[in-house]
Amino acid sequence: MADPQRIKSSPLRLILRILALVLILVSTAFWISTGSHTGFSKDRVEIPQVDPITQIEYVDYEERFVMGVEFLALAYGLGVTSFGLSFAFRRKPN
Amino acid sequence: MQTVKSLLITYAILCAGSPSLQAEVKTYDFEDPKGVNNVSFLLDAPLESISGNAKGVSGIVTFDSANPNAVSGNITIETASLTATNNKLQEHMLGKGWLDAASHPVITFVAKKISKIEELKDGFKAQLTGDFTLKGVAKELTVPVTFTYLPDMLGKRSNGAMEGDLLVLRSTFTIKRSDYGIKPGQNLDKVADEIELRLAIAGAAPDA
Repeated sequence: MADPQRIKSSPLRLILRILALVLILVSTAFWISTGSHTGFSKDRVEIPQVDPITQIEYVDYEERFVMGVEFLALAYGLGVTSFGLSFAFRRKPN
Repeated sequence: MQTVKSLLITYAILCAGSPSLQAEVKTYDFEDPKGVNNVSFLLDAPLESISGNAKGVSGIVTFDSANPNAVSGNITIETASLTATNNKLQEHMLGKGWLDAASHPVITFVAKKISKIEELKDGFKAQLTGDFTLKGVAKELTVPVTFTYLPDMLGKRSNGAMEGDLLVLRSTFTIKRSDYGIKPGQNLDKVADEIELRLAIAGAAPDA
C-alpha cells in the first residue's frame, strides 16, 4: 500500500514564521526589561533629586536607553508582515 | 494703590520685628556650580507630554529684605542647556525651526516691578513684572514668584567655603510659543502652543 502523499514545508515559510516569533518575543522582552515605558523612547532617564539646603527639586540625567512604544509597534508590524509573507510560500507535495 | 501702600507698611513693620528680615540691600548671584538651579518646561503632545530641563541658569538679583518693592535684577538661561529625554526631540527643539539656539543663545527675564506682596513665614510671595525674551522676542510678563530667605545658609551649602545668605526664587507660569514667533499656528497637533515653565533657583550673597 502506497504511503499517503507527504507534504514538505518550504524552508522560507518556516524561517519567516520563526523570524516573526523572534521579533515579537525579543521586542516585548526588551521593552519590559527597559521599564515598559508607554511613551516614546528615551535616550536618558530623569532622576529626581532634592537639594537638602534649599529644598529645590531638580533632575539629574542617567544616560540609558528606554524603549518606547514606537519601536514596539515597529517590531510587531515587522513580525506580522513576516508572518503574513510566510503564506506566500506554499507547502510543496513531496 | 491704598492697599499696596498699607501692605508695604505692614510688611515694613513685620520686617522690623523679625531678625531674619532686617533691612539690608544684598545682591544675590544665581550662578550655580552645583547644578541645582533649574527651569523645567512641560507641554502637551500626543501620547505623552513633552518635558525637559535647563540648568544653565545665571543672573543677579538685588534685594532689600526691608523694602521688597525695590527688587531688581535679571535671570538668564542658556538656550543650549535645555535638555529633553530624547536626543531627536532635543535636536529639533534647539534647531533653527524651533528655538534656534545658535542664533538666540539666551532666554532672559529682566525684572521691572513687583506687586501684590504677601508675607510668608520665611519670605514673601508677589507678582513680578518684567520683560521675558525668548528667541529674540521680548514681551512683558507678570509672573507669581515666591522669595524664600535662607539667612546664613551659604556656609552650609558651600561646605564652609563662604558665609552668607541664600535667596530661593520659585515661579510657575505659562507662555505661548506663538507669542515668541515659534512656529505660530503650526504643528499644534504635535506640540501644544502653551508651555508651562517652572523655575526653582537659589542665589548666594556672600558676606562682605
